[in-house]
Amino acid sequence: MSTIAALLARQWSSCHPKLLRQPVYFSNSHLRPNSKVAAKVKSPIFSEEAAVVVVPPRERDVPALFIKPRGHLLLQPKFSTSDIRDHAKLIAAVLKTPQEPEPIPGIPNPDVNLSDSVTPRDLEWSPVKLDLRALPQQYMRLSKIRLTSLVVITTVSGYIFAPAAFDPTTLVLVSVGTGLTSCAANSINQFLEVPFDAQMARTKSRVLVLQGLSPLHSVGFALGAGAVGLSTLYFGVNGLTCTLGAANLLLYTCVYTPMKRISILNTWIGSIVGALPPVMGWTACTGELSIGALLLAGLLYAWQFPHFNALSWNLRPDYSRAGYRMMSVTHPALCRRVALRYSVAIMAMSCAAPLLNVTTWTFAVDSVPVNAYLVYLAWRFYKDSDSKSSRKLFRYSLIHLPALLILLLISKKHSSGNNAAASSVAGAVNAEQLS
Amino acid sequence: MYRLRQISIKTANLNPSCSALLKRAAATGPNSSSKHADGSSFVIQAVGEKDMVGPPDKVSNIRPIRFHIPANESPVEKEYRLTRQEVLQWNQDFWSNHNTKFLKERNEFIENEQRKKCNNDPLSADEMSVFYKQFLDNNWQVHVKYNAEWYKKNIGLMLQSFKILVLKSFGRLNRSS
Repeated sequence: MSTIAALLARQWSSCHPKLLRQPVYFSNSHLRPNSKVAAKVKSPIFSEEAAVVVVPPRERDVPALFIKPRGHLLLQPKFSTSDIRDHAKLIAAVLKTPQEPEPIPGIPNPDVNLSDSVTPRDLEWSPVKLDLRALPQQYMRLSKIRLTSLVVITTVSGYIFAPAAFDPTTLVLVSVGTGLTSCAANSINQFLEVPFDAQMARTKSRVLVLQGLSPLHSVGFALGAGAVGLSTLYFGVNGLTCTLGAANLLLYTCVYTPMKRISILNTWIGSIVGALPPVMGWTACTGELSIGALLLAGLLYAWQFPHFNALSWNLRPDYSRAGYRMMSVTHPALCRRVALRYSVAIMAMSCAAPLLNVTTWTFAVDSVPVNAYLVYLAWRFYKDSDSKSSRKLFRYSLIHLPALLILLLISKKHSSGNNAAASSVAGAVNAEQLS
Repeated sequence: MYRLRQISIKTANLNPSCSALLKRAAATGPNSSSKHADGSSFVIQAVGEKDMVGPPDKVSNIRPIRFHIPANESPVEKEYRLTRQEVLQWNQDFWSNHNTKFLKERNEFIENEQRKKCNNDPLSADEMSVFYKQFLDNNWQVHVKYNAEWYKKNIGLMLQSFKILVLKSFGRLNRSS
């Protein structure tokens, strides 16, 4: 056993038998932030190996080492209520760092017992500073990158679905423009929501709550992304698409975000916000609004209700405490009714699509099973009103939307006969899709 | 004043070499300083001259901040720091009161319902939803008011930090050193 392991063993035995109610801390001048130590802790409950981590010196001059049983979170409440059976014993500790760290000159005896001299909460303090290496990731979190990706996917679908010439450059420009506008909207939203986000388990790790970026920085990022995004739409696409993007940005940040604490109408406003990106894809392609764009907007608008109402169902305690006026809290019956109603509306719109001369008749047929299952799950949610049925509906809604969009795109109908060039290109694309 | 946990290491528990090590590091470290709070303990100041953010408060869920005071802090910076402290405290007070109220009223609701039913079974999600609605409705005005006030304070703080940024980049920040 190396010196370090011997030291650890001695430190452990000096405080043994130990109640493993909290992680046990060791600190020793031999430890370096990059030291790798493996240890085994034996306990009647946690018979497995314990994780041993060297904590980088944030506020400590000497790196600390703490031991926590594997699979248990550091501050899990369950952990602190454990009883006398938690007696645990350190049975082995091995230093994995290749060479032995040098002793610090001038300190004759580094073997000091600091076990439990710090509490876990103390180690959770961290400096507020701008980490340039982490910046791209911080920006992605600020932009809610997954939500932004979904927005871009619906825009691309709207573009492909539109009955005009397919131009890859415009498609890229409208995707970038819409994506950046969405990044701006999400950053402003988070800038406005810090104390509210801190209240809810779902949002408490957002970047501004953790002070990863300053509020000014996030607003600067939002203004930059918004300006570049809207200019891309204006100069690279067209004025109508840019207007829709700007309107949606304002609707999300200035109407939807504050309205969450004022009225349950926020869900309907939020649905409009979700419905506009595919329309922007459509107008980028055709330069005008028409029935096909409305159908896409209608589908996306309706989809938000089974999706969000099911999600919000299990968050009722958090919403109630944090002051969010969500349908699931204030009008539980309406919440389930609306989810069912709009699921049926998606089915009706899908069947009506061929009648509107927007898709081929195949869409009315092949979308039936996809939509029928959504209606079935929405009905179960309506009837059972439990967390299981809401969770099922929410999960399925995540599969339902991409599936429906794919079906919609493969049954696209090309009806633009005015522009010969456009229709020939569109025909080529269609032939490609069919082959 | 906000209760900030300070890392204090009781020198009594350490052997002399260790406290010597910590003191030496504190004294010679480029950005750290130490001060004796009382005879038996001392505080290690934030390393790196930065504000420190801590774990969320267990009741309010608001993260405390230990504000770093630069030696040559300018009046504008001081004003900004004090306003931030004030807003943080205001948030801490609001959410601490509000969440305490929520827990208290929820427990009362559960006790009441159990008394009505004459048993101690935990309430179902549907039964609890009555309370959630009631609590949200009763606090509508509180939240609308808090929301408006927070927007005002948040935007005010952001503008203040923008002012500092502009002054700094034009070299017009009057350092008090």
